[in-house]
Amino acid sequence: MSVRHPFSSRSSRARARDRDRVDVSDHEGPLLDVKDLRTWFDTPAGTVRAVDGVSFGLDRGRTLGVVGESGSGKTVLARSIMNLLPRRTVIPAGGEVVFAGRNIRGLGVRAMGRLWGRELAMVFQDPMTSLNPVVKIGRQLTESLRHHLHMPADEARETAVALLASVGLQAPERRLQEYPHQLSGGMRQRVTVAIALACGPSLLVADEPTTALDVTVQRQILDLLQAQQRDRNMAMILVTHDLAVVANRTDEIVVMYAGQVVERAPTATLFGQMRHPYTEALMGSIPRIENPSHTVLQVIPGRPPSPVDLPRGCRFAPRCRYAQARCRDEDPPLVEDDDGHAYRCFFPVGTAVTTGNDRVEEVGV
Amino acid sequence: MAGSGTAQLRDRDDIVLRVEHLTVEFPAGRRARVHAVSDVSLDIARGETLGLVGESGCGKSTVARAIMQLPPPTDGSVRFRDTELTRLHGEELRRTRTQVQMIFQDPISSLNPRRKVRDIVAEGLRIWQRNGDTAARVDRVLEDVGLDPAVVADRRPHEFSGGQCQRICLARSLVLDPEIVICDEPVSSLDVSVQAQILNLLEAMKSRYELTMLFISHDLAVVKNISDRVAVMYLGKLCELAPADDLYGAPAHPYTRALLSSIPRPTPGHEPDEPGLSGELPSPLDPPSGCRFRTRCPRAEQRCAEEEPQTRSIGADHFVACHFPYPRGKT
Repeated sequence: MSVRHPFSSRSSRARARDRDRVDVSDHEGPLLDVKDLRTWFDTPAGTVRAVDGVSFGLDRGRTLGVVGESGSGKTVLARSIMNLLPRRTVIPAGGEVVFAGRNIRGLGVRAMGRLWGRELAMVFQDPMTSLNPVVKIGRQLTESLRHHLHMPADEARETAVALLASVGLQAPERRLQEYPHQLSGGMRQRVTVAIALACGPSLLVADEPTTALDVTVQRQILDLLQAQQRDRNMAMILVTHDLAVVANRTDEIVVMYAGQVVERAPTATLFGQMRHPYTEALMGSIPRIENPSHTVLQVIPGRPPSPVDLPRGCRFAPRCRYAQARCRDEDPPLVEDDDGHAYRCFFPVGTAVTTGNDRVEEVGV
Repeated sequence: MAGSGTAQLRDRDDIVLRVEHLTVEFPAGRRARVHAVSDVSLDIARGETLGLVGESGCGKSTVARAIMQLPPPTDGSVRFRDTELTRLHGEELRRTRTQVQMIFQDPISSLNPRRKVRDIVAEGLRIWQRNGDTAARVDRVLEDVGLDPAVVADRRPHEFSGGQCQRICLARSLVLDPEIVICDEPVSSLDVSVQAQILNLLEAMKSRYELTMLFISHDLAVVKNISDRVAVMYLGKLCELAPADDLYGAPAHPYTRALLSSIPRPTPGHEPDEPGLSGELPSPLDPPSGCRFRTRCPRAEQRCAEEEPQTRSIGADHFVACHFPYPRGKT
């Protein structure tokens, strides 16, 4: 987490003290409701539609996995929810981010400052760049406690020690006096998790929290996030490129491709039957430890479309093995079936076209 | 091991690369030394792919660089067919290196951004003034790696994606018709769909160019997919070496088992059969006595601290360096 808070003067803190109570506990309905979110960027090459009409809801205590490859828009989605994007280049293309009943889309730094760290917290991919290298761990941890919860110094220190212990760091008192470079990558990520959890946020957004880490450390950090999330009844968004990471750690999964949600389903449902050809192809391209060596991997031909020049019709159609004429023409809508399984495809996996039976012009979806 | 020993070395005629007692240390000031690689022995037979797997800091990349003599190892021997690489210098070493090519993790930074793809791929041919039609050979290699020479040859690396740059790197390494290719994390910076393309391509190129490969990665599933045999390293030592399916089916070393059980599986409801590893990797400045893994090992006993385990055979081509390996047949 960034440790620089937008409030710099004490007086603004004092004034904010009474206004910044966002009571999320008595809020009814989903904690987070993202509605038709569009984040576009103005670039010299044209308008980049990084996130283009994404909707989902998330309840307290639940975990949502957001899966996609580079350029699918998953990180921009996470940052849009957190309001962490540079305002100058973003085109306000629409959509709402309703957090605890209040639309926080486009809120300024001042208003977000009351939520960041306190209600909405984030863990980033690279723990070295998200910690301040010239500030001791202790101060980076206690800063938000003192700022948001107005804790006296000694109490904040005790809380920090307890937090470091709860994320599994040995000798927490000593760690408070250390600088980030004195810790290993896994320990640094534990510290960023502790900072994110310090004020007991109701939503934690973890953007590729383990991508830079080794498998054994990855497992430690994912176990830690899961345990903390359960203990605190916190909602979590786990953003990753790795389907395997979310398979056992989430309640629901959103698969993104070229800025859109192509499939959304409860985790067990999704892995039970993938309906979108992209999800199926992505799964087929993962080397599986259960398979014998030299198994030929399924390949998705081509590469993702340029975000400034999206294809007509379905964005995956140029790479889709099942694509029909209609797919290159019409934009498929995201349709939800009875099990809460939504997919953006005219000819989903498991229907006549995709199972190789006679070509069918149209399948009811 | 995490131990030493040479029981895993084979006495065969078709051994292309044989690394014995390889040790690499780096000075770290005040008489301290980083023990990056300590007494590692392995060999690769013609046409074989050896996977080398381990976590950051285990010395797997250092092994690759020591084989290339970049820099030469502190101690030990590297034999490429009948040539002892550690004794070669200058022109001789450079000439031998044309037979031992390397592919790196970050394909974009390993290509010169100012040069055209054609020149990058042709450079080896130009330096060694190989006879024949250079342009035709470059075109053929580019086609082999799945790039259209007419489209790509006059472009520069920044115009390509990571996956395409890795194809160019592969073309550059293949153009001199090497005997062995060392791939150091060649797919780690790529997306899964592109990773699958490159892995399939490596397999195809291996059979077309009759290559022998050393494939280094931290990703156990990737290593299993491409390798015939797999070696596991921990803190500069070799732990276990076995044919790929055997190593993953019946891991004997406690570290191998911990690694395997840490891999997330793309199947909901999968429960790992082992608790995860606790603690931190010890410092390579002052590695633990005896077995280097003992400080984190669930099976460690007094003997592990006193005596370094040697590699020994526990089955057909299956070698482990552990005093108390898991019995075979139990997974």
